[in-house]
Amino acid sequence: MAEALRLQFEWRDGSIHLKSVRPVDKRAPAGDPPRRDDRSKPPIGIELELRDDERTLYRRQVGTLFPDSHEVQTGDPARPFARHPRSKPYTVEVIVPVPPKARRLVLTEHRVEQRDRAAVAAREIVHVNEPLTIGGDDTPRQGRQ
Amino acid sequence: MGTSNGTVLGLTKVYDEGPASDRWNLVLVAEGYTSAQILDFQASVQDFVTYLFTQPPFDEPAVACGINIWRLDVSSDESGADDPMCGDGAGAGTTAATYFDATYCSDGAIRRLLAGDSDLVRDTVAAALPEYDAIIVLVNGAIRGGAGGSVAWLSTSSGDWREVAVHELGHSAFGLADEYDYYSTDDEEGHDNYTGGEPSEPNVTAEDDPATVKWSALVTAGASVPTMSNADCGNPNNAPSPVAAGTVGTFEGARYFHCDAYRPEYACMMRTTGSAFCAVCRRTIRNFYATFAAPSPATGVTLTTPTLDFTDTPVGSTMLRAASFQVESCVPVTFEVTAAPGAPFAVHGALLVTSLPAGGPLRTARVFFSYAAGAVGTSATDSATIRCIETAQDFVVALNGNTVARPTVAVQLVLDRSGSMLDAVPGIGDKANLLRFAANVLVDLLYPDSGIGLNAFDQDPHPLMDVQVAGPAGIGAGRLAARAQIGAYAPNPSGMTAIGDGIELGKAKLDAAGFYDAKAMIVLTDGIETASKRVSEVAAGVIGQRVFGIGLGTADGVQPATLDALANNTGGYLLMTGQVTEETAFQLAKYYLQILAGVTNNDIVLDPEGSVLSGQVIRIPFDVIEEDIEITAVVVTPFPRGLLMALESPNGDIFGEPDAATDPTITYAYGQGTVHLRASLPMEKAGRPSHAGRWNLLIAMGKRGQYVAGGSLTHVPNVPGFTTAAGGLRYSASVFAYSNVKLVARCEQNGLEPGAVLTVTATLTQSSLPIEGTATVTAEITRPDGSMATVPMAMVEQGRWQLLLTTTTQGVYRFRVLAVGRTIRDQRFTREQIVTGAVWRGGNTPGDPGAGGDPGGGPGRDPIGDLLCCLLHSGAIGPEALKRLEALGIDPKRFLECLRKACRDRKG
Repeated sequence: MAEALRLQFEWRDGSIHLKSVRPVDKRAPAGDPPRRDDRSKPPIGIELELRDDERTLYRRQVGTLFPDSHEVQTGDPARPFARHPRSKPYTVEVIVPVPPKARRLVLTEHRVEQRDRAAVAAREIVHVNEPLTIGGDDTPRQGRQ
Repeated sequence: MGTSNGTVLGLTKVYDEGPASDRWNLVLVAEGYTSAQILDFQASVQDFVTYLFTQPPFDEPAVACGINIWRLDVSSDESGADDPMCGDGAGAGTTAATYFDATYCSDGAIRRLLAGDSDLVRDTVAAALPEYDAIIVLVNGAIRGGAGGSVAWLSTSSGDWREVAVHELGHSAFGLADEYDYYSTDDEEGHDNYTGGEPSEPNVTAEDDPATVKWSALVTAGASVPTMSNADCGNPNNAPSPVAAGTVGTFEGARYFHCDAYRPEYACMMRTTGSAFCAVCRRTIRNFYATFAAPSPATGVTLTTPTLDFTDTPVGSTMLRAASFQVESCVPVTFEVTAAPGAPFAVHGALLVTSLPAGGPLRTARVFFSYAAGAVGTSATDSATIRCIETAQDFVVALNGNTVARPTVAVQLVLDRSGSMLDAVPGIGDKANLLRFAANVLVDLLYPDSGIGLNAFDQDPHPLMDVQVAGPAGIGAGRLAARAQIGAYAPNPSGMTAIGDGIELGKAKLDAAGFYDAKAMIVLTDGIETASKRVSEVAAGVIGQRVFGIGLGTADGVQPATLDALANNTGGYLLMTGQVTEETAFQLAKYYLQILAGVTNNDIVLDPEGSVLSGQVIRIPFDVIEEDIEITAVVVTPFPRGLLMALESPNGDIFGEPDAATDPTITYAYGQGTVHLRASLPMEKAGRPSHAGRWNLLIAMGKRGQYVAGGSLTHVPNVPGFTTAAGGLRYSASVFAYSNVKLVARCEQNGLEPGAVLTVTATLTQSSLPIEGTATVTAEITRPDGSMATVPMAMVEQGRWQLLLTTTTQGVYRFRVLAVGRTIRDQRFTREQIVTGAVWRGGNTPGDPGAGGDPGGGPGRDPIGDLLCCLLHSGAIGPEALKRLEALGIDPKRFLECLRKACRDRKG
């Protein structure tokens, strides 16, 4: 039985879609430790969660996998990198473990409210509301934005 | 450009830390290398591997062992990458037919943005290695360039491409943010102050107080708030660090913003490629690889002892056995007893045992259990559950134990009564006196249920006493009978030496002794074999019992080759005294006691000698451990009644003669040459148990040198060898422990002449397993010339030490092997044992016993002397012959004295 799933996402024009779910027989990175208080203000960024009907089974910050800019080498030792906005679609892969009761995959983006900098708004950018099967199913899954 | 422009040549694992399914797999892929250039790609990969594992924290074994690195060789039809004219005005306007279609200016705007068909890369790698985690494409590009992401692209033309590669992994693998405080090379508008809320990345923050920041546990004490500020938020801060390198705090300027975003240290790989990772990034990387470095549940941990048998545990003792796991892991692996067994079993040691990877990833981890023996004939069965925390596996171990009576032992003393035993020893009288003294010491220390028998030999065997049960200390019937025989022992002035006769009779007596769990023979001889039967004529295979030998004399005087061989072949050993002097009395007694300790499963804890003055109290410290279930303290002296002896426990309680009268677990007895105290552990006084810890053996002489003999007081006589010039009484003290921590020392030699190498080995075990705790072993060497040296012995494997010594002169080499260690429960113990080796000129070419008849015979012997000795010993020289000698003017009495002496001398 496969130990993990390789999730493939596509970033396109600022939105993210789940492209495929493939089983892979290997260890997956550990999830982030549980937040001390789920009601506390979450950090900004993109968070991946695997949930059952009641709670989060696996959570991991994956924001650095979905940058909206390129990192370009400058050749300047004082400033070796520079950023330039992305325009073309790109694919991102995330390996996650397979909690037995996982029924939902959710990518949530947390960002500071424009009008109230003290508040953090959450926006689900990918939501797959069905058991994550391990059957070599490569059918692209469409999530709601 | 594409798959028609090259060939996938194959996948190679260049850094292997285990199965792909268990580790984090990085794949480096070739792009823009022709088949002729593939070696360049391979060299670059090796270069990267070498670089990576020198960078903290990848230089830590617990990180490195979680990583596999692979190389996918792909040749392209043409070298390099496309380099079109780009939106930024740069570009060569060239193309290259490559497999993955790499191109500079991949977004149409920035020339250095080098990338290609990432989907094709992914699919190609997946076909070769489905378990990949990260991919870096190394492009044989002409200029610097690259792009990050799940598939990272890098030109190897820049001098810092390795650093850039690791920086990109920081993002894609470890989730680290950029720590530089600028956005682009020319447009800094909108990057003055960060207002975006607390970032999720572990290495940047909007919090300026080191005390409350997300990495506060790593903050350097005294770091200010913030540790470094940017005075000009309109620009990046290029000022030098105000604090020492490596200071962890909050440094303003990170995540592309000049102010209000902070990083942990001044410099880091996520800020500039010329720096190592900061402490926070290192911690993040370590935590990431912990999952991948953990042992594999399938192969990493294997229980090799599903059943622990505590078979035939002697009553009163506790036996230890270990559940053993074979562990293959480069990180610590922890075992926890989650379901402990019930009495009489128990966990011995901590419930949590951590196996460290010191010495290599493949090792054995042990969790110890104990079985406390109950009544004879009882048995028990139980189980324990042990969990490996890293693999979440549970292992069930079955435990079986049974209790038996302590093994009984029969000892047969085989004594040389040849004429040379009458040789004088200054201060002692003669060798026979030495033997009587030492043999009585052994008889004094016998366990009440032990058997004791005696026989002697000269040129014939002589039975002295059949094996009898020794009986209670001091007064047992067998013990008294043995003492009587020892007292009556008298050498034959014209006796020769037929050791084989003595051994053969000794074996017959032991065979007839009835049932004992163990039988042993101790043969003492002071000279070369001069009569039949010799040892060589008594086949070792029919002996059946352990044979120990004691050679009383020098190496060339005893020439104990065959006795040594017999002893070693039967599981015993030989000890040599060397030159016989007044010092030999204690030495001989010590040898008898050491052998007796070995056959009764006791170990010598310490074995000092000294002297005590009237009114003085000698305090000799020694250590007792939990595994010791009985101790015997003995003081050897010819005047035992002149001494008082007691034990002082770790909590200060004194145990002596009065306690033996009320406590049946304590024996205190005076013997012919000893006073001893024997007690089961723990000892108890007023409800206070005493067991493991530092004890003291107390020795005192009565005031004014008094001692009690037959109920009357008298003075300790001044006897050379046993009293000192100052009027003190010499003693030899020993402490033995009945224990499952055992030292066994042996001396083997590859020849019998000077130049032979003596190999001394020492094995320390606990419950028959190599000692788990720490120990050092030294050998105190006494050479034939009396010079001494103390040499550490080298550990050659767990629980085994060795020392090699090349002999240079003939004689006896004596080794006092001393082990000092700590058990797995950190209790100090000592064990010691004496072993000897002997070499002599001509030792490798002994006389042929069949060549010259009896006695001696063989090359170099004197046939006329043989004849005269034979005539003497056989009684052929009668009174009439002596008259005739007298008529010739030869004093017959002196003639016979000379002849006897000559015959004795020729033996050694």
